[in-house]
Amino acid sequence: MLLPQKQDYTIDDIYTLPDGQRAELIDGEMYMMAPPKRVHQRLIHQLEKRIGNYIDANGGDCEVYPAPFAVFLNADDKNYVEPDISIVCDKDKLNEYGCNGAPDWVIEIVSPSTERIDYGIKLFKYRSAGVREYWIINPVNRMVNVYDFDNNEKTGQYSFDNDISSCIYNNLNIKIADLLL
Amino acid sequence: MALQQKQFYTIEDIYSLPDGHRAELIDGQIYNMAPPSTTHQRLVFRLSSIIDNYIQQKNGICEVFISPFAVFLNEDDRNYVEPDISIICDKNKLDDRGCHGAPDWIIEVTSPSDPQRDYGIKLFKYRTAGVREYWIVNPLKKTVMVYDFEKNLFSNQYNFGDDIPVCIYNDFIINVSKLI
Repeated sequence: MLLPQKQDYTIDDIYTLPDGQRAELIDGEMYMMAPPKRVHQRLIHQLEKRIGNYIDANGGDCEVYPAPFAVFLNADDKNYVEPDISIVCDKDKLNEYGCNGAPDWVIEIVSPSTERIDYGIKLFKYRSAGVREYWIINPVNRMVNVYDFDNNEKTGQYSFDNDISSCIYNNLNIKIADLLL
Repeated sequence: MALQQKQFYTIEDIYSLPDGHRAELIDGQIYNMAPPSTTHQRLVFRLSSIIDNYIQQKNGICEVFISPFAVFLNEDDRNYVEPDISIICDKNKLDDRGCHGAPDWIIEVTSPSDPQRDYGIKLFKYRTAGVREYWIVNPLKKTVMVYDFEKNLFSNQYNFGDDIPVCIYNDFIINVSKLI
């Protein structure tokens, strides 16, 4: 007999959470989100500015969205994530609620409550959903893991002092240490 | 770096390489292996020793193998890897040539020449092949990436100074700094 799984939540459950409470949903399992720290928010803001300026300067048509921003990763009702930064190049994926399907580039800044998800479950979900590039930034270790899902060339582990080259933008380099000055 | 002259290589190509020339094969692509550094070999030796000691002390059934050791990851002729450390708990997978199928636990110590292989291509191959736990030890950054493919509880990025919990063994903690 198939028992009903208690982790079988849907996006309805996300939208009926009490105001101010945030959570993500991955394969029907709910993950509560803790309020972010200052360095986390600073990094989000600086990255959004840096990437946004680059896109504007180059006349690109991708858009940058900082969290909270809803991503319906598999365009189903079992997956709802709020990446720290989402870069979306296909305008057809965007509606009033957020992004339906995979963003082109996702950046997560880990915190003690999310690191296991960022380095584990989300890595594999993002890859199989069709995200092209994924960065995991760790402010404690001062490390950035880059996953170049398109062609694997730039996949690796970088430090805050390295000039990290974006995978989807060949001539965008970001040194995280510079964003924290 | 990856050689990509030919579209698909097979395990026959690996076994017909000149003596002393080592390479891995992933989905038919050949990846040459650079000779390892002193730090690399020290880490492989110390890690494999502490793991073997743990298993002996517990009278465990798993076995530790260090590279060069052949792993026929998908039991096909398109995949052949030599992980730095392989821990194998199913004796039926072993024969004189190596391991047929996924080891339970794999540890790779990165070399500066080709980090994308350990962090990218192998990560996804190991996961889908059924490896239960995967560590990527980076001597330059002094970090260890742990992937707990089975339960996802311990997937994380650790520093050499951290007490790292082993996923496949409940009561086994490794502190890399204390080993070197």
